[in-house]
Amino acid sequence: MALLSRVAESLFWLGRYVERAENTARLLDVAYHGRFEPTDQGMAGALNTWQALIVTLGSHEEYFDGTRTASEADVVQYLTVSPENGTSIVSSLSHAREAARSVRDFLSSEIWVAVNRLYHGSARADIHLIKADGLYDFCDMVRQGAHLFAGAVDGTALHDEGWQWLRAGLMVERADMVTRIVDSKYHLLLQSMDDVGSPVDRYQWGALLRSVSGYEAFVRTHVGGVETEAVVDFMILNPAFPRSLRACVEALVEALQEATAGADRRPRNAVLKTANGLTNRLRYETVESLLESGLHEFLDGAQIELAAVTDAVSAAFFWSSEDGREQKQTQAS
Amino acid sequence: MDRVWESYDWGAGYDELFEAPGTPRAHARALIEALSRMDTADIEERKRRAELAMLNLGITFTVYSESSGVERIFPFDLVPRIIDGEEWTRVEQGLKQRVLALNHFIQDVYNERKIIDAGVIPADVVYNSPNYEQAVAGFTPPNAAWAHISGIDLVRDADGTLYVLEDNARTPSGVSYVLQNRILSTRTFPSLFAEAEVQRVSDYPRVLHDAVRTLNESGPAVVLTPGIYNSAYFEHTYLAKQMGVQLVEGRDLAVRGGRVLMKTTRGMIPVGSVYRRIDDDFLDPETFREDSMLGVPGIFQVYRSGGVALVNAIGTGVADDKSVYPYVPAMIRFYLGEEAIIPNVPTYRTAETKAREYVLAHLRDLVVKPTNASGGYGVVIGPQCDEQELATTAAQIRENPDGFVAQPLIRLSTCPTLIDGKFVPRRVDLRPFIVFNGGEPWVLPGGLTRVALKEGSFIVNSSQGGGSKDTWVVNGTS
Repeated sequence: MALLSRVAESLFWLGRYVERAENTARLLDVAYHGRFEPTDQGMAGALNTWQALIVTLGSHEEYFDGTRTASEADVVQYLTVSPENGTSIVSSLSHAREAARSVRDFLSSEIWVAVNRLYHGSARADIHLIKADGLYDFCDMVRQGAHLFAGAVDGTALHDEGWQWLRAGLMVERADMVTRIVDSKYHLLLQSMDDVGSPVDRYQWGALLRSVSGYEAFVRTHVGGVETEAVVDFMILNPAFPRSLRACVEALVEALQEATAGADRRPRNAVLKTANGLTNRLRYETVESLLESGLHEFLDGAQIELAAVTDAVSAAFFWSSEDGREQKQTQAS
Repeated sequence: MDRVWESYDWGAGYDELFEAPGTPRAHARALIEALSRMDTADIEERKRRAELAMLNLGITFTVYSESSGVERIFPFDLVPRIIDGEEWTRVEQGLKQRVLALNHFIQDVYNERKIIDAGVIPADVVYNSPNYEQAVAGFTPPNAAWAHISGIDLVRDADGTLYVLEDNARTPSGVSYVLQNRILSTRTFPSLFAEAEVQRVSDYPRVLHDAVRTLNESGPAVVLTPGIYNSAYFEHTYLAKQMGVQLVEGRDLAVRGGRVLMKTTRGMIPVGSVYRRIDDDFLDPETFREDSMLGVPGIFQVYRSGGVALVNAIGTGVADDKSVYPYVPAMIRFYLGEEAIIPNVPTYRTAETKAREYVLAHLRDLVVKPTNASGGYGVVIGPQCDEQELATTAAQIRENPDGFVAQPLIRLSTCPTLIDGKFVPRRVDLRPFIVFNGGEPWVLPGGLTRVALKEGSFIVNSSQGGGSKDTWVVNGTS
């Protein structure tokens, strides 16, 4: 049975929103525990941890509108429960649940219950408790819930076209997030390279690895310890680490290929061309050349390409609410 | 008889499971004994778990009057309402008869108008009704079937007589709760259920799909929902899933070349029939309400030319209008040459001068209902009103005599219901569901029993704090 465009779109965004909530929880948790590091003090020219977090998530313009400060309390509230922030954890999960509701008939009961419980659990959370030492528990609940969701998706859904769209959404978001996490190092240091190789530098890279659950895997495979080149290589180019940019983009391409199998060549090629371009660069890039030509520029470029993939997918396959494209599709079918 | 039933007393009325205090009806004896053996704390715990499962599963409905946190579960009472199989056979005949007559009526008023010409129903009652749809005048849908799915609400008075309280011939909801409640109640009483030979309800999605699909087989059937904010959205997803068809929104469909097409990731696919859960007014902005964002522009023209089947047909509201209701027994006589098997509740149309005078003089004994509302909204129960409320209602009737009907208060029958660990009598009604596509109507055994959870309350609607029960039709004594 052919899949409704709207259903495909909702599944894509369901994957993205749950992943976004999980990543926000991971980043918050790492930032929160970073406070206890004595080395995280008094770096000239650098942003504080909380400011850097807002910049990493791309929310700085909206956040610094004059009503908030870069304090822990304000940032935590903004990123966890704030309804004003459309990408706070609760907002993301509310969007995820709404997307899931709109495709209720399509999801297995297990997936639906996982999303629904995750939403109810986070929406019920009390901001005062979160601020009073409850942040770890809150973030942990979100992470666990997201894992349960991912497990239900892999273990109970029919591995059909809809499943591939959901995976594609999840992978786009995960890929985008890893570029932001690595890039946050740039914002923390504000290009002041004096600290490279210092304890602060090592601590920060370690924290980034933890935020993608990569620390343990990294130290096991890198006896040389935590240093810039190795970490960047691991988080951006390593094909075996499931949250590296390369692994995410390869999984994204695979999901898109499966989801669009048998579709008209023109819309399909538009999607796959952009996604494959990025994969190829990641496959044949070396960490040395990448750092030499500018890590920040590279990551910026990757984010733009990921956005272009989403645009191409929307234009070619998620067209249920846009009349202009119907004619083209009718002819194509 | 166990002591948990010693204090069970419903006063001067009719109880569905007891014939006298301490004496269960024959068809309910096994259930009452089983309940006596169970620990009420244990039953409460089962109920709590069932309700939590319903919240996590999203088996919820939306209440319009609440601003946030709008989703609520429809409270479920574990004590089933039992109907004797012999009585049910008669009820079933009565429902089939009524649905056939209503369908004849709709076909007639949009085409030959025989019933008007014969003087059985005044023309203005039909043609001045806001539910009369001029756009389908002269049209005959496939098999001349209009109300493919109807819900006929039944109530039982203190003397045991069953009455039809109202007809729902547009998009009656609640059937998903019948199917869900059955799952919950068989989990609670597995062995009792197996012994009692309860008639099955699980055929409904298949019967429904067959009825919808065969109206137009040029493409698949779909369920059309207004979307996730509709109060019955859960039901729409549930039925689509159980029928094995796509659940679509208006924006998923488009009209091209005289067909209704579904937008998929592989292009446009033609649709054969649409089980639509959107009101007539919102179905097609080109023909009905221009501001509707929920509908499908152009679907009406495709429908009229036979390119797509709609379930229920457009214009069926003319049959369930509260001003038309008093004439249904006459309709049955006119079209079928039979007497109504299930009587109507006596009804006064305040549009008629003599009836209005009677109603205004006896307001404190009557129930007043707006003719064009459902869900229990706007219902005024005279015996429960103070002077000022009665005066307000009287003024409303004088101002808009066409807008109301009045009925004597039916002392709704009660059924044991578990509240705070005790079995107490609570009032119930029954909404059976009937499927029709031109041949013999099919009646879902039992239906949705709604229960007023508040002590003394007569209003069972979910939007007004009611709950529901599973309904068992049992063959012979259990």
